[in-house]
Formats: sequence, structure tokens, C-alpha cells
Amino acid sequence: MRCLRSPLVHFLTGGAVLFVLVHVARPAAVGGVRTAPNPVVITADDVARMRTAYTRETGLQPTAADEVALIEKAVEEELLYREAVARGLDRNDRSIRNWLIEQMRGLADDPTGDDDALYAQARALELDRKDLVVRRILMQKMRLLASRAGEQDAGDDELRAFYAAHQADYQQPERVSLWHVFLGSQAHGTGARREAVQLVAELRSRPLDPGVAARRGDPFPVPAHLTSQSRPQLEKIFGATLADELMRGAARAWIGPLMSPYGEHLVWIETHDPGAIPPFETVRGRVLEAWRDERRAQRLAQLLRELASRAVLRIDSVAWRERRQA
Amino acid sequence: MMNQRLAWARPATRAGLALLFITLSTRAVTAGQGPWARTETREPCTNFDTLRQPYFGDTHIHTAYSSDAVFAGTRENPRGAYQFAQGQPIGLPPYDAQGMPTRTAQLRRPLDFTAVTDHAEQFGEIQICLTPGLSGYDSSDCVAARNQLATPPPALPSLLPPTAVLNFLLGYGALNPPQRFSWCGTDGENCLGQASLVWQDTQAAAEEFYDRTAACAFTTFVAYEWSGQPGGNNLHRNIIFRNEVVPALPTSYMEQPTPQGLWNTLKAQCLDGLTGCDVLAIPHNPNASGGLMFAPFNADNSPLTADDATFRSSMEPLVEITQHKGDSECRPGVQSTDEICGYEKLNRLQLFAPISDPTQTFPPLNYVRNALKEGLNQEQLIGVNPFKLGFVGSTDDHNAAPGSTEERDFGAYGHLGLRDHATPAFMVARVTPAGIEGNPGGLAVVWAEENSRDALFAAMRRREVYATSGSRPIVRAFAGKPPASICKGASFAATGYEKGVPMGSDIGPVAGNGSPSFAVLAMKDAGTADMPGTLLQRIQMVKGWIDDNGAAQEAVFDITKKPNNGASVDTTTCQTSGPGADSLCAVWKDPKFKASQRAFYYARVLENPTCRWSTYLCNDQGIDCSTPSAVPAAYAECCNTGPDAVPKTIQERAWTSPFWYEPEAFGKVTASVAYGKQAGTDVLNLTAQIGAAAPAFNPDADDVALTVSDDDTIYAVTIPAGTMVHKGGTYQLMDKTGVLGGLKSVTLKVPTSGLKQLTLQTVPMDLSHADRANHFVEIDLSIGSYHATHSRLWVLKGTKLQTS
Repeated sequence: MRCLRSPLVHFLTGGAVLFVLVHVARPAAVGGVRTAPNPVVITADDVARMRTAYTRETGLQPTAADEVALIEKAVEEELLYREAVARGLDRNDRSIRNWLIEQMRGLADDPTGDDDALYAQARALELDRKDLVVRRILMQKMRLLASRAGEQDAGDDELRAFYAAHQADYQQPERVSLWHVFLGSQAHGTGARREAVQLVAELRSRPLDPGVAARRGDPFPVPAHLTSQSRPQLEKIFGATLADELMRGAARAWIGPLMSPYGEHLVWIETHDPGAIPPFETVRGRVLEAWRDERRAQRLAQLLRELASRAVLRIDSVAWRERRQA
Repeated sequence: MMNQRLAWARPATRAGLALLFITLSTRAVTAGQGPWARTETREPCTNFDTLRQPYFGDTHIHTAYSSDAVFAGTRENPRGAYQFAQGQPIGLPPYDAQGMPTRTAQLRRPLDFTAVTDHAEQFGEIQICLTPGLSGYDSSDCVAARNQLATPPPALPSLLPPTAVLNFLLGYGALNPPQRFSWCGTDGENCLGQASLVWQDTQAAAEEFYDRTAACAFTTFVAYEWSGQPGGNNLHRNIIFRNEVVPALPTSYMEQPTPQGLWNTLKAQCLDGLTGCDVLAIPHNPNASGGLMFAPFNADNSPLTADDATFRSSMEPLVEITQHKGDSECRPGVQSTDEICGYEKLNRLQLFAPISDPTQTFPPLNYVRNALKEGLNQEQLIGVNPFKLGFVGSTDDHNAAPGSTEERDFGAYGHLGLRDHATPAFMVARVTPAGIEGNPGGLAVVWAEENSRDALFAAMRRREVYATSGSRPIVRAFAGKPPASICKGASFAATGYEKGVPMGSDIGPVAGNGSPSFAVLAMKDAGTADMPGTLLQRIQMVKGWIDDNGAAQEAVFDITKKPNNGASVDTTTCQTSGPGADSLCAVWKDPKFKASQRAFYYARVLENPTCRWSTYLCNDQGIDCSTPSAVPAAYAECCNTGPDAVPKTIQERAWTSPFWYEPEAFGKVTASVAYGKQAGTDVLNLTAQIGAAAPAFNPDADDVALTVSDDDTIYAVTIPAGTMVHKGGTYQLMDKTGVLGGLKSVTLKVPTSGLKQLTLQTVPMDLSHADRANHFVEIDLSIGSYHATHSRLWVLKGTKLQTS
């Protein structure tokens, strides 16, 4: 107990506490050395270069909004690149290594040099820090890592919850079953409508089985009795206008005459079936893909937000400043 | 397959119950089974029709998984293509700095099905070149490819794609056998490893967008393209798998550089080698094949044997008769005087040939009609027709935009990304294989019971499909004994199926020495609110046959009234004028029919004339040909009136799959299953005429096998050789005990000339597999090497299911 009151112990303990506070408890940057984050700098020259490249690729002059988008993309790429380096993704990357070796071989004019030596030289010269190919490789890796790291397939419970939240995407279409009698413009000419009006009055006045009534029509490529047709299917056969009327039509009564591109139709709607939500088991595959896509995008967006929040930006662009103020 | 349980009920109740029972049993059957097998697990389709419905689709589409689409600037993968097919917008190149597309396209009407068919040859190569870190990414080929991708498109198009592109895409085809890049590794393992990932994602995308719910709103197929290009001649085929059971890797031209090799591998890896796997191949662009696509010999120049022909015909029941790179039906002056064939003709001998000249000599077998004639010729020579081709249309779009066939919209986006439309001037340039010589392509229309893989695939197998040139007329055709009144009644389909066979089928001498009847019903394209469909002009029947001298002949018949209706279109306003039909119906008999001559017949439906897509584009650009000095050089083609000019107007059309008349096939057949009062007391009766041209049967030396089936077997018997009693020209078996397969009596009359006849009756037995509802029943007869099939819709009348 007495040793705890020793000034040496106090000194050493105090020093240890200070050491911990400075180096461990505070968030540290690369290598455990704490530095202020380097600003991301985009100069006016950089902006001009981006604009020229854009025009070359698309043949269009970039608007202010385009310029802001170009800058945002450049910032995002720089942040991803820096994060990739911070995480050491450039170590042990075979593609980057090979690329740097080839670059160094050319630079040093040393076609037979030892691979390891060349690689060490390249790193010493910081070729990897400036090289476009290396940058692209690292950004790509970072994106993949961010979106897919720690990815696990969802269990059924999670997927069902996702499905419940996105049911509108999977809803089945409304359907109608009907009989129709067709009086074609080819067979009846200009009298088609008049004859249709006569016929529907006749059908309404005395009860007749729709199947029997339908036999009185003209040849049509699909049968007189159509079951469980969705609106797109009806549109395919009858055209859009008639399809709309069929979806709305009252059931168990003769409707018409309704006009299609082919002539007049008298319709007896049997049933309207409202669209059902399919059972989860039948769409599990689609739901899983959709869930995965959403999660990946979220993870990547999250990382970018984190990186952006820590970043200091110095952008020399009028469009950027105006947009930021807006 | 239902048992009757009414013996105990009182008459009134019995009648009521019977009515209920028949209604229920009918519904139970029509709730889901056609004459094909179900090979996958899915919810039954709510919308099922035994008499079949039309489904519109595209079976030839490229996305960013195809290397040539990547060079064209396409970035969408199969998922984008399926979304587009269902009606959603898609982005097109050029893409901006943010990676956003600067153009979009959208269908005016969705499709019902799509098969994405990316080129399998470079699945792996193009992924490697685009993915940093993969071995080969740094190769000079990949660097050159990426440099090419980063190069902005030129202001004016050049005749051919850039050299770097041609080298990458076609280099493999210049070598014999084709070879992958060196950086693909030993045996191409690096590239095949990546190809495997692409193939898996192709399957995943197809699964994601295949609607397995009862809605059956959209069907995808797992598919790819085999891109055989020996010596620059196009031998490409689209390989369509029936369901999700597919080989681990697609067989490309690299693995199998001949069609025979391809089919053999598909058979070994899929049909025979993988339970549940089924596949067919659809060749396209015979118009650029140098006469090789339908050459009547094998790749090693050996002549076709009967087995070769049978195998080929089973692997390739269809041809893509029209698409972006031209229509291949026929060509005026190439074994045909049919001027209507002058539609969207490719005037180059090969896809990348620098010369476009309509007066060149084109090989006859570049055209499907001539190939069909050659098929008849081969049937005459070796007994089997290798070129029994049903017709589909498709686009071959490389924008991942299936079904984009509207002439009005084509000028805005083309089919080949930046190669087609860096600017509108590109679209009307003389470049290959794009530019003004291209067209929006066609559609495949399938008559099937429901929108599911099994139903659509089965329809493709039996060829009950038709091709359109891009619009959506609805066409139905039957051959056999449909009466003239079929065009006056409301049950065209039911009558057609009862009295005849649908498009794509075989028909025998059903009218003795007289011609079968052909019934065709065509409805114009229903159109959309802002774009009504074009009126129909006429229906034609195209006939090809082998005459008595063994020479192939063809003839075209107009089968509707007033075929030359004088309809026209104003090329400055694109306003149509003149009479036309909303729908056409015709029943026709062949005035030149000879029962002994084998023939094919297909219907061609023509719309009234409309503007070609290039005319719309030229008008939109404000090109005024009356002041030639004011026309920009880039748009010179708009005012070209020379012999090499592309037409300013077109007549859109549809072609049904052919009917094949076979003199040795079944003639008239009358058959019935009479259901007994008790289970196991049903009786089959059958009387079948067989064509005079059938060989002289010899049941003394050959087995006689007969099968009656729907989705399963109703009745089957094999009469061993020598069992039947032979007396003069008749063979007979009588046995009241029915010990041989339930046969009570069977008689086979084999006269020295004239129709042969088979008559058969069973003892009371169990034929309950014959569903008690109107449905398709097939009769199969084999005697030695002779084989014939008869398929009709049998109708339930009381306690009898029978032919009509």
C-alpha cells in the first residue's frame, strides 16, 4: 500500500494515463500518428480538365448542375481511394504490383530488373499514389468491400418483413372473366353498330346463356369465353380503350356495344377478381435479390456519408459554391 | 381421368349431378394441362386456355454481357433487358460523367416473354477486360479494348467498326479452329472461369424476372448465342433452354466450331446428360451465311443421312426469319419472281462485307423459302426433311431493349448503341452492320395455353408460332378439313383444332385426292391510343413443292378479295390512305394440288403500305429533297433514288409457320373412346386412312406399334411381326379375349395402289387416362421405318370422346 503513495509511481501512472488518452482513446489516423485530415483539393484547373473530358465524351457542354455532379464524383472517388489506402488494400494486390513493376521497368529503363527490387523502387517513388490505374483499382475494391463486406443472406423472417414493406411491387393484377359476342367491321360494314345495338337489346330482353349467345358472332382469333384476363392481356387482343371498359364494366349484365379496332363487341362479364398478393414462397427468389440490392446500396451510401462527414473539402468552383449555398 | 359414381342416384338428381360433375371435371382439366410435360415447379397459371392464346416476345437480345454490345456503349445487363421488356424505360449510351444515360427508350406495349441471348464466346474475356485485378486485365488486348471504349464516337460514321473492335470481336473467327486470347490461360481456364460467373448471373437474372406466380405475367428463358462465323459467313444460332436446368457452361463456337458439334454437345450435356434439361436452337441471318446455313450436307461435307436430318430437325425446329440485319424469307430473282420478297433485303454477302450491291449474285439457300424447298427435296431423297422450319421474328437488339420494333421510334435509338446512333446521321449512313440498311426487326408470336416456360417451349417445338416484321397483327391458321363456314362462325379456333391442325403441323391426304382446306384469320395490329394499327391489305398462301420431275417449284396465291387495294402512303407526311381491312378471314384450297406431290404452305399477311423508319427520320430532320443543295451530305441517303437506295415505304407483314403436306401421312381419321358404365369397360375405336405414298407395309416382318396419348398415354399396343394373319392385301388380327394389348380386332389394308387403311377396336378395358373434356389427343403409328402422327382436338359428347 505504501508504494502507491510514492511520487515515482504517481509520475509513471500519470504518464501512462496521459499516454493512453493521447494515443488510444482519441481516434487516430494511419499508423497511430494523429494528423489533421488532409483536405480534398479540386483546383480550377482540375475543374476545367473535367469539363473538357465531359465534352469530349458526350459532345455536350456541361451545365452548372453537370459541373457539380462531376465534382461530386471526383470527391467521392478521392475519398474512396484514400479509404482504400488507409485500409491497406494496396498491399498484396497482385494487379497493382504487376502494374507498378511494369511502370518502373519502363521508367528505370531496366528490362531485366528483379521484380521485388522494381516494386520497392516504385513504392519509394510513390508511383502508386499518383497512378490512375492504381487509383481505379483501389476505388473499385473499396466499393465492393463497402457494399459486400459482412454480407449475410437474410433469414425468412427478415425477408418476410421486407416483402410486407414492398408488397406493392409484387401485387398481382386485377382480372376479369367474360364472354363476348363480336360483330366485325369486315362482315357487317357500316351496319355493325346498328346490328350490335339491336342484338344487345335482344339479349337483355330474354335470358340467354352467354355461351349460346356468343355463337352468333363473327370469327375472332381467341374464343368467345375468356377467363382470368389481366388488363395487359385484354389490351393485347382488344386494344386499350376496350380493355379499360372491360376492367370497369359491371358484372352479370350485357354491356355494349363496345368498340375495338375490329368492330363491335357485346360483353357479359362473369367475375372481377381483385389482384392478390402472391404467397411469399412463390416470390422468395425475387425478394431476396431485391433485399440484397437494397442492402448493398445502403452499405455503400453509409460509408460514403461517413467519409464525407470527416472530410475537409477545398473546391474552386463557382457552381459548386452556389449549389452548396442553395 | 375421373371415375363415374352415379349408378346409385335417382334420374333427376343424376342429371343434375352429372351437369355439376361435368362442369367440375371440365374446369379441373382446363385448369392446367396441355399436350406437353410440366418440367418445372411453379404456381398454376390462373389464365389457361386449351384453345391457346397469342404471346408476343423477342428471342434475340444482347446486353453488356456481349462483348460487341460493350463496344457499342451498352451498360445494361439482362435485368435491364427484362425490365424494358415489361414496359419500363431503359438508359442508352452515351453515358455522362456521373454514369447516367443521356438517352432513354421505352416500349409502347410490353412483351409477354423474352430470351436474352448474349454471345457466349467472350463472356469471360470482356469481363476480364473490364474488371481491375483479374489476370489478363493488363494485357494489350484489354488495354486496347478499354482505350477504344474511352474514345469518343467520331462525328461521322466509318463503313466498318474500328480495327481494334473488329480484332477483338472477330479475331477468334479468323482462325481455324477458333482460339481464345493467350491470357485466357491454359485451355482458356481464366476466361472460362469468368464465363461461368457470367452464365450464372444470366441464370439468376432470368430467374429473378420469371413470373412463377399464378399471374404468369412474364416469362424469361435462360439462353445464349452460339456465334459461329467461319470465314466470315454467319452461322449464328440462339440456344434456348426450356427451364432452369442448364449445363454448367454454354457451348460456344470456341468449344464447338461446327453446328453438328454444337448439337451433339447440347444433346450430351442437356437432353441426354442432365435430367430435366431440354433445349432448342434457332438459326438466324441465313441471308449472310454464304448459302451455308441450310446447306444440305454436314460441316465435313459429307451428305446428310436420314439420321442427320432427323437430328437436325429435332434440334432446330425454327428459324428467325426476320430481324435487324434483314429479312431472309426470299429474294426476287433468286429462285423466285415474288416481288413482295423485296422487303428489307441485306445487299451484302457477309455482315462485314464492304460492298453493298443489290445486283450481286446471292446464294439461293440464303433464303428460307428456298431452304424449305430443299427440305422437301431431301425428304424425297433420304426420307427425312432436315429443314422443317417454323418462323419467328426477333430484333437482335444490342441495347438490351427487347421488342423495340416500332418504325416510328427506331430512328431515335437504333439497335447498336453508339454505332447506330451517336447522331441521327449515323442512323442513315452506309455502315455495316448498322445504319440505313438495318431495320427495327420483328417479333416472335407463340400460340400457347398459358404464359409459362413449358407451354411456350412446347409451342416452339411443335412450331405453332409465327413471325411478324415488327407490328402485332394476330394471325391464326389451320389446315385439314375446316369448312368454309369457319369464316362465318364465332368458334374459329375450336373448329380449326377439331377439323384440322394448326400452323407448323404436318397434314396428310385428308381429302383423298383433293386439296386440304386452309383457313386463315388475321386481325390487324390493335395499336395504341396514340398509334393505331395499320389496316390489312391481303392474305397470301405461299406454296413450295416438288413436281413430278423432282424439281422444286414455288407459287404465291392471293386468297382474300381485292388484294391490290390501291392503298398508299404519302412519304412527306407519312399519312396513309386507301381502303383496307380491320380483319381478314379466308378458306382456300390449292388449285394446283396433287396428292402425290409433297409440299409446304405458309400464310403471309400484308399490311397496307406505311413509311419506313428512315423516312420518318429524314422527315423529322426536315430534309427537303426538292432543294438538293440544302441537304447536308450526312443525310444524302434521304434523297437517294438510285438502284441501291433503300425503299421509302414498306408493307409490314406476318408469316405463319408452314404446313407440310406429306403424301404418306395419315388421311382421314375417325376415332373415339366410349366410356363404359363401369370402370375398366371403355372401348377404343379407330379408323385411319394412310396416304397412298406410304411404303408397302409388311407386318409379317415388322412390328406394328400404335399409341394414343394426351398428356399421358391413353392406349398403347405393339403387334409383334408375324402375328397378324396375311391374306392377299390385308393383314388381320381377331381376338375376342383381347389378350394382346386389349385388341379385339385390327385390320390393315395395304392395296397396291390408293389409300391404305387401318381399323382397330379394343375389348372393354381401362382407358380412363383419356381426360373427359375437349382436349388434344395424338395418335402415333409405327410400322418398320414408317412413322406417322395425327393430332386433333377431340370433343366430349355425352359418354364418348371423339374426333370431329
